[in-house]
Amino acid sequence: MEITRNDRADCCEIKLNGRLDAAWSEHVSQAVAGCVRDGQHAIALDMAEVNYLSSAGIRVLMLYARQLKNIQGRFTIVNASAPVRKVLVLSGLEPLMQAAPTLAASAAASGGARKVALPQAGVFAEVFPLDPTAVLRVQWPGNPEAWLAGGAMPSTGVVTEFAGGVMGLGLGVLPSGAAGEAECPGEFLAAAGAAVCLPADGANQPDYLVQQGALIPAVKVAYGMLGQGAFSQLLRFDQGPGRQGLPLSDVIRASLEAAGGGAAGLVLVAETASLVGAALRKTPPAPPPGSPPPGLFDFPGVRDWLSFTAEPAFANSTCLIVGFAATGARGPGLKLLRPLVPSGEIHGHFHAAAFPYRPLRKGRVDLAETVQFLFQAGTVTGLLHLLHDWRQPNGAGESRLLRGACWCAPLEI
Amino acid sequence: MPQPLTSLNPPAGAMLALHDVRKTFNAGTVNEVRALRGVNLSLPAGAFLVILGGNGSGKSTLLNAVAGAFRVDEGRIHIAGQDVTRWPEHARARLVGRVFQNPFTGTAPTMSIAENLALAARRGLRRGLGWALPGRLKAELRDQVSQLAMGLEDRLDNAIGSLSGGQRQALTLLMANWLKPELLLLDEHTAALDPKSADQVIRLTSQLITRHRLTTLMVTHSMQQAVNLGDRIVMMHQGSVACQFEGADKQRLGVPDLLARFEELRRRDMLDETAATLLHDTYI
Repeated sequence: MEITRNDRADCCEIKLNGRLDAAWSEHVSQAVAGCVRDGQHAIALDMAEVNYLSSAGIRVLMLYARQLKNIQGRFTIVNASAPVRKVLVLSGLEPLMQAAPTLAASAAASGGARKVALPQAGVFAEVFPLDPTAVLRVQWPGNPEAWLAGGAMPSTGVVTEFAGGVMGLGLGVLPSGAAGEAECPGEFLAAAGAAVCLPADGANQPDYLVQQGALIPAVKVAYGMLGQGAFSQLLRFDQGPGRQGLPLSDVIRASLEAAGGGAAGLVLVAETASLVGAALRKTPPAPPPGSPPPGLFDFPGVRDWLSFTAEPAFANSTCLIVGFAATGARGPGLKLLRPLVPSGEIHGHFHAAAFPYRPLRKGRVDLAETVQFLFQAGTVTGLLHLLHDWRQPNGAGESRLLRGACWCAPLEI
Repeated sequence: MPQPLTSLNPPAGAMLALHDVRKTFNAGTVNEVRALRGVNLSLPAGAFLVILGGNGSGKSTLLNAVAGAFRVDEGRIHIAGQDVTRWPEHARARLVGRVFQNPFTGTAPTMSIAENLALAARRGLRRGLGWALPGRLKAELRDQVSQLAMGLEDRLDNAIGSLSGGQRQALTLLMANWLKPELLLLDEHTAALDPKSADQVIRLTSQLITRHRLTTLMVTHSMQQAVNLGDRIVMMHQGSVACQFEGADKQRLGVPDLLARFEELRRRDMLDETAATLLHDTYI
């Protein structure tokens, strides 16, 4: 079979020539998946030269028709040959045979959005106003010094509930309630009624709680930063064709500008080009009583308790990023915020949970729905404290995002 | 988690015990390799341990140290309660059965199947001037070889060099187990076989180990074999035991989990002094 891809302004056309059967269905599936991964949500499958369609091929057609419908895209079959038309009619898939889709629907969804520049990448993000008066009230539960001095969960740890209106990050555990059980706080993030935690017990397996019925996710926080309230703006960003991705700092800059404050809380759901960061591997050793805190970052001991992605990771993922950022003027004064770029122009603290790749709907989207959509995969593949590896000449750089949504609001401190 | 050895005496019931075993090759030269850097391991009778690791991680060196292919620089090795640290390889042969990666190692190619098996039947024992193949032994050979289900029982007089790699490795496995060794060492024994033969030999390996409750150390590069076989996995890295899985942890383990562990080890190596400085400045 020959598979030819033609990217047009309004849709992606895939032309097939040959038999769409069990031997070729996976190849066709990969070709369609590649279009979706490139951000094409309007796909036309030209089947004029397809002389046979088996159930293996029908399965692929149904799979992508459903997937693109879920993200409000369109998947159509154009120029169906007589044998293909016959099979589609008999199998009840006639509605798939339509004119080539266009981006009219998504363009309509973008109506009313203003633009904000992502200068480094040379693209614009669409900004949808949500609640212009919304702010996030900030709290800092726990105490990083207590954790640094003790290693495990300090007595200052605070059990915090993360209902829909609370976002946050830090080090913590999903509390079991069992007395005497060792607690190994690791990176966590929470937003929109979901909490993900990577226990620092060596297992390297993130666990999560999602709000359901009366169940509200709770995290015992060793230390962290919380924002309570609503979001004022939604940014939609897309790098367009290519797989290099937009620098995270560029998206953060645009979000700070959109939020209109010197400091903002951000929740992003994005398709990733790469993530760079670190995570607690194990609880660092506690110093003997009366001793000063150990040099936790001394080499090579730091290798025992901290894992660092010295090269880009999670390339083919969709991620949930939670964090706080501030401009250089305010950032140094805010607890837990560190420089995000070598110049110190913006400061921040961001955690990211990686999920298996799932395309995101375009236009105005709802945060809770989008986060729930991520957890439908049933797997969280990793959790990182995002860092900018600006070491020269071989640093991994910063995390880069292909496209996504960012909800933001100014901070009230 | 398995308890590390803390004394020079092996734990009660341990069929194999290694305490702080160290080995450096070409010490003091530019080619110095610290192949084993303080390995502690305790294996109860009947346990089946799979050793995984990248190239140069020390897994084969560990197997060779147990087999006695060289003397370790430091540490103690006990097999079946006996301190064999200073025993030469041939003396350990009566306790240890071994199958190598190369199917052509461990057998004499110009000798017949029966003659090779007869030699295995006398491994580690004194040999005199008697018939190598008395009638009683021949009958036993035929019986044992027929259990391989490869039709080799009718070819006992054929030179072993005329057999395929898979057939030869199956016979080597049989020879290694002939005297019911205290410890069976398998050194990537399917790595040189085609997939079908490898599957056949792995099935046979599993059957023999289960049937005779053999204490086994198997080195492999195959994560699928590691997941499917054995009751414990040790992952070696830079001459040390990096992590172990047993019990419920071993049962729930899949190939992706092992791949993630390898990736974690690789990341650990990439965390250098400049990265440590970056983390100091930006992590907390």
